[in-house]
Amino acid sequence: MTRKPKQRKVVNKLNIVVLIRNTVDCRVPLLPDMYGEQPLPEAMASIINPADWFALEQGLDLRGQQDVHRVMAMSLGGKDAEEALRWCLAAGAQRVLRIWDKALEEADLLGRGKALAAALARSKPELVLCGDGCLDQINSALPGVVAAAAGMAYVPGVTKLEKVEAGKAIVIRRLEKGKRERVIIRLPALVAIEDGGSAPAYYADLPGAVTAFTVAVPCKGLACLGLSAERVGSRGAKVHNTLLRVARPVVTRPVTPDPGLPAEQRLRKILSGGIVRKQGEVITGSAEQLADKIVEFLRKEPVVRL
Amino acid sequence: MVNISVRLKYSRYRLDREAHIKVNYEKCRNCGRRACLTACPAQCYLPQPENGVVFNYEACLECGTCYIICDQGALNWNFPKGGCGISYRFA
Amino acid sequence: MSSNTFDVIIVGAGPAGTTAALILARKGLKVILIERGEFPGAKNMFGGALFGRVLDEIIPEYWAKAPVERFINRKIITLLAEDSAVSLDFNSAAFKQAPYNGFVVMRTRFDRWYAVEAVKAGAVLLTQTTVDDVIREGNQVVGVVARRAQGELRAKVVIAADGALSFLAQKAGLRKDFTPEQFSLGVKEVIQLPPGALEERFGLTGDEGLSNEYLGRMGDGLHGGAFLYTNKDSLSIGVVAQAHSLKEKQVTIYDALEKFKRHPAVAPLLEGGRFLEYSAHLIPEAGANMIPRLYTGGMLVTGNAAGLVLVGGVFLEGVNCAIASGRIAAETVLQAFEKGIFDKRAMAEYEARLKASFVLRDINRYKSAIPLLMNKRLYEVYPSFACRTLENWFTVDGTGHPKLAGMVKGLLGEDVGLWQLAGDGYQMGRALLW
Repeated sequence: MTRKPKQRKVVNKLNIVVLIRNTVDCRVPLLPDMYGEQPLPEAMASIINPADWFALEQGLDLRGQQDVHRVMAMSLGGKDAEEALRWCLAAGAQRVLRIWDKALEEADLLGRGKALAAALARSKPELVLCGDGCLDQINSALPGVVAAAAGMAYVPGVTKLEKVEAGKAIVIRRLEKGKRERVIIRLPALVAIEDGGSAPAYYADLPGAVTAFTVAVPCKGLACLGLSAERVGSRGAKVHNTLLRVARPVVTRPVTPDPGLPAEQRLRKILSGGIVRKQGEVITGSAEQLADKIVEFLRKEPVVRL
Repeated sequence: MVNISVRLKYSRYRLDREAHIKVNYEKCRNCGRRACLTACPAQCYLPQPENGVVFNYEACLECGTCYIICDQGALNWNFPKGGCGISYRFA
Repeated sequence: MSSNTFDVIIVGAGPAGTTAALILARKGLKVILIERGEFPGAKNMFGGALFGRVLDEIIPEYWAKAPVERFINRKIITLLAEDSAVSLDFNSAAFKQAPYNGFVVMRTRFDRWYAVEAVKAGAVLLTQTTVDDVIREGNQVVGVVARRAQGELRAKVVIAADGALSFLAQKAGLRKDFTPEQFSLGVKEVIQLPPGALEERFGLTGDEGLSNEYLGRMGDGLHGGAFLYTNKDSLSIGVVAQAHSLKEKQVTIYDALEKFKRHPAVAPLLEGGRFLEYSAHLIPEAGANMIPRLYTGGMLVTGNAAGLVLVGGVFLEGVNCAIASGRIAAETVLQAFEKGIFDKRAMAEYEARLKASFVLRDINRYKSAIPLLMNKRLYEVYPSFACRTLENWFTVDGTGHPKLAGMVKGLLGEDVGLWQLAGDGYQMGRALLW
């Protein structure tokens, strides 16, 4: 961890914080226990959320830019979070901070968001980065909650940080159907970056990795953040998780096309998995007729069971 | 015949961009035995129609069986980059 | 930076490496334990039995702290023929009590726990880092090269605990190239059973567990065996095949495993099970014939990397040898640090201590079991012979029971001559009895 006190004097230097979440690796089957209820604990491998790691790499890329002072990685969690932060240090983050308190174990999203927001309020970053979405889905909404609790702008769905300078950032955001928009953000703001899907670019060098696993990772509890367990901990939680179940396997039906069809159409059916483009239908009539037709439509389609 | 790839769908892998085992296919083309085809417990080696093999590193369990049975010297065998490759959950 | 220099580098966070790290860290040495897996245990697999008396001396009452599945109080050895089986079933009350003889463990959980114990003692654990080479200065090993930028790391001593394929021992010039005869390939499936099925099918109560080793022809002619271990709620079931037979017979090991799972003596045990994971690992099985030079200046080779597996036909023990060798390596290193000498002569102490311990004594004692295990009749003739003999003997079909001797003679002529039988009997006796 190298600190450059000289640069401190220059005003308007940007501090960047990257929020790192640990998640269950849901890309492999999470196998249920013998009762078929909860997933086996061994099956749930804890990893750094890939989108968050991508965001960290985007943040580290910014270090070359003039106005950036330092990149700090922050995570809320237990031992897993500590190891994740060590890898952030190894990859080049100048500072790391872990937030953990026994009381946060059972905290809900709002509680954890508030704890992170309190930590952000202390380190006063201009730009907060994190991944857009989380593999486990549960924590996908966390950045939004953090931004709201910290009173920051929240910009999700960002594909690229174009330019970051004092007080201002220009980002490219994804819209529907492949559209993109360029957004100018007044800082401070929390920007959620979509996972680029590329393999990690920052593979720590050995001295960095060794240092990261030798130094102590600072950890702040609720008291340090001026929060009480009553408010953000398990007792303050409004949402309680009682059961985690594994998803039922997706049933894929094989498509056996009608042998009477010409070869080309049969191939199309096989390749499309039997999915055919449907024609839209415009319905007209009185409000009641319309409602009936909609209900009729929903009944025919396997969307809802009425 | 068991299709082992179905089993391996349950395994956790972290893929590197590069194959950790480099196969010299020239030598495989002249190999009469092609023991790797059946010896690999993850069926990473697949036969080519005439002779020779194709190696897919993605499902490799890093056991090293191919390394010790290949008598053609066709393999440049390495472990994957740190952190990559198979991560067992129940072994 | 001073924090980045270490006294000892240990490559491989398996049982051998972690033991060495734990003991050295307890004595206040600066130790770094480097592991290539995502976490310690991520790449490791074995059948399932940890014979932990030697661990008990390092972490007293480890079973109360470590993630163990079940203690092993019942050991079954089965000879397997095409559709019948003969078993020897041993059940011990002594094995049910502390200090238990052995436990079934899962390496992904156990190795991880064990490495954390080393970290608690003060060792630095660096995961996700592959070590490719050693740094040599003259005859002295002075460090390792990791596959990361600026990957050189130096220390007084390097302990290679990098597993069966030990490339470090090779790079340090301590071992020759491997041959297929030196290894067996083990594959394992973990199969989850319905609630209560495990206890019911194996007659287990509480934390009781069993190990079952099978000997016979695997699949279509592979030489080796199979194993079954009871985990907490699941079974570990697998096949071990000698690598040379894999090469010669052109039979896949997963077909052999599938065939084993369908064997009439095995299939009912797996009924209603759900597949969890498939894994594979090499086992160095040549015992004393494959042990590399165990040391050189500044370097020691431990565990599977040194081929320290006790192969005794009815035993196949690696983890306890690994733990013991890791401990002896640590003791050697401690002595070297007391004297401040790390040359080849100081390291030679390791081999001397290893020879005095059960590890090399047992491996040498059972040296003659290895040619026995290479005897193809052990897999192709005798298991089915034993089963057929008993089948004929026990069959009640109104033609009367013949006496054993006559029947054995009749059956023998088909597969094996009397002289051969006598020769193999002598070999078996040499291997296990005297």
